Amino acid sequence: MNENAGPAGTPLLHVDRVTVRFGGLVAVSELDLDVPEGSIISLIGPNGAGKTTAFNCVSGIYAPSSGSVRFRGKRLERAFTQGTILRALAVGLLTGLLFAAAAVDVDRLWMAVVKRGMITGEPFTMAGAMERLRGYFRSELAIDQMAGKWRVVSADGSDVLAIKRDLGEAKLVRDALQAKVTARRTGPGTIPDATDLNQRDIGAAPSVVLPPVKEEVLDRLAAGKSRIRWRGWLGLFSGMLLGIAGTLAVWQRGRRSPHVVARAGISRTFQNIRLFSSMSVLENVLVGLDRTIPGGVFSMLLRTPKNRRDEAEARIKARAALDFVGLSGDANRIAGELPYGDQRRLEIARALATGAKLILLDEPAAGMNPSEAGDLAGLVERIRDRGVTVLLIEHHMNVVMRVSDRIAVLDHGTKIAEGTPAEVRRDEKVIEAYLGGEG
Amino acid sequence: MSVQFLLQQCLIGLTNGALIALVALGYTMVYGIIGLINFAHGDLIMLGACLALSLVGALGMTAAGPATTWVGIGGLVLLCGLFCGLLNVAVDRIVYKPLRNAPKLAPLVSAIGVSFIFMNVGLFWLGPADKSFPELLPSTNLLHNDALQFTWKDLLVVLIVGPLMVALSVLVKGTKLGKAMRAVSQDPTAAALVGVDVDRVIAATFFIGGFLGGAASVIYGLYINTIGFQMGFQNGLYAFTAAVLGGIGSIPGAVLGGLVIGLVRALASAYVGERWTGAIVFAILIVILVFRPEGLLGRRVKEKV
Repeated sequence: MNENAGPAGTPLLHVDRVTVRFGGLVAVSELDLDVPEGSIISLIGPNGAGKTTAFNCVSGIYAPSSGSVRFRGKRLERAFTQGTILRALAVGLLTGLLFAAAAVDVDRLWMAVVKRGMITGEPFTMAGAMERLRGYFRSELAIDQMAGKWRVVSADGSDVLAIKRDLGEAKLVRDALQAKVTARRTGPGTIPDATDLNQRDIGAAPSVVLPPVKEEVLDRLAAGKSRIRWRGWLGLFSGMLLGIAGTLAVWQRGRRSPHVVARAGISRTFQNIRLFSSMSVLENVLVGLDRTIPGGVFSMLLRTPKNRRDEAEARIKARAALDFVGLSGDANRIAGELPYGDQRRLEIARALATGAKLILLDEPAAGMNPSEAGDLAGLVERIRDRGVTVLLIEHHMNVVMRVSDRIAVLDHGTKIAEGTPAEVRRDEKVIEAYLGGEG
Repeated sequence: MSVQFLLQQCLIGLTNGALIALVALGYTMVYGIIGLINFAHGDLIMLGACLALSLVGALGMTAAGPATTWVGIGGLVLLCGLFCGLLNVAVDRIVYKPLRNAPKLAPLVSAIGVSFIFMNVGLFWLGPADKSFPELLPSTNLLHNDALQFTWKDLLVVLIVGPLMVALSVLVKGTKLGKAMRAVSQDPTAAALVGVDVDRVIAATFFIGGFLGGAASVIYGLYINTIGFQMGFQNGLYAFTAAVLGGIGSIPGAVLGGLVIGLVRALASAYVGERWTGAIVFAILIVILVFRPEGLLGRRVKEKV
């Protein structure tokens, strides 16, 4: 037992009422399974019984539709860290700003803040843009140019109040009209506030001829300020809420990812072999060991002495793993060129090299003749003797009956029996569902 | 039409080809690892060139003493590389990552969308007209031979592309990141199940591709001396062609493809005519793909069952 072991009596792997549904199809239904440390547990059942689905669930490829998988008493999930919160907040802020931009009418905002600056012929500066942005939210009157004439327009450009030939004159008219609008903001339903105080000389209207402006237009312009701000805040808050909720939802869905499960100490092999077939045998094993090598990109690129030492150590470990499965002579061959049986053993070596405490073997003896299957059974026992717990899916009954401490039988996604090999062999339901066919 | 003329054209072709290869690597690495043709890559490089031009202006760099100029160019390569690398990672996180398990067409169309966004950012940054990039390097001939020109600019391309290629091959061949990248490209699920953080490996790939592109953008500015918001499209197209020619997904293939296309372009414009270069490049691409659909160095991909 090592220091990571859970409380006494806790099995290494505890599968609790796990159900996996694909659409309407129930692949695994309410599966309970305990795998005690240091044992070999087999999962058997006819084809399509849901054995591989159960494996995929344990190793994190699928998330169970309901129920839980615990390893040493812990759900293997990505931890909820500060980084998660920060990421959610950052995305929330971004969506909030986008929503706010949409809510305050992004076309008009763009026109008021960016285009208007270009029209008046000033070079684009951040300070000028910020000034125009503030003006837009204060719903201040602005000046733009059309067909060679200067126009006094509302902030969003939808109301044209005056047209002048001369820029100076237009500015005076703008200031005078702005004073009128600001005066109206003290009226009922609008709020004057600090942002209004830095308006240009409100009381003293300059000596220009003001164009006639309808009362309701002035009222609308006066009310525009609180309206546009209200919409902006609403957009910002709803966008942030949506962004944060969405980020957390996506994070929650990807919480149980295969590499988190693998790093916690569960590794597996596949029914249809999944090696990195164009890499060498040794490299295949090294991929599993790489996370044990510390150091960043720079130490890797510079090949620091420590990095070389670490890599040499990893190579020794990898060779030991190959030795263990009996492939030490083939280290430099390309994985895809190995005979079938050797590829299976290489997959086991790769899984062992990750330092897994629990290894899931999915039909390791598939396609083997009885003598090879016997060798494989020996290998499985030696894995157990190394202190690695084994969960096995296998169709070769000789192998299953020889190595298993306990056997669970699945049929149509449901566990129909569990017990020692002898018990399972006698079980009526098992004989009917599975062994019955073979006599 | 002497031998020296031919040699000169080959030299031009190879330098141009090295530049194309640097961009093609970005296409091929991303394709190799997630099977996505990142159409936004060319426009990413255009943005890198925009940043380079802005930095040159902001730092007031001129063709001063060679020593400071070289340091400045080194800084530009580093900054633009970082900028493009990080931008590429951000695009992957925001646009492509949510579509990882979607049908292949979804990220592809999104990449086209990102390309348009970048192009418009470039339009805003640079304005609609092409901008000239200051000549920071003297165009004196380094060879004591009047018929053969090899200028500081050509040397610059060699000096930047060479080390980057060496670093890349060390990274991919000899480090755990490279091993993880190859593993993820062959089987992401199996890689994750032996403890490889697939998302991080993909992000690293996007960063490296973007960094090489950023370096390429600086060289492009200094070498071609004109940048514009539409440069990403044409250069991206040639680089993508180079990646396909060499076998998309294969790193040496992208380099070979880049060099071949550079040579073909230079020779075609010298011996046939400038306006025929595009036609000849793509005709050669078609011929090669008819006889070797997997590209020059690509592996024949067996359909997964």
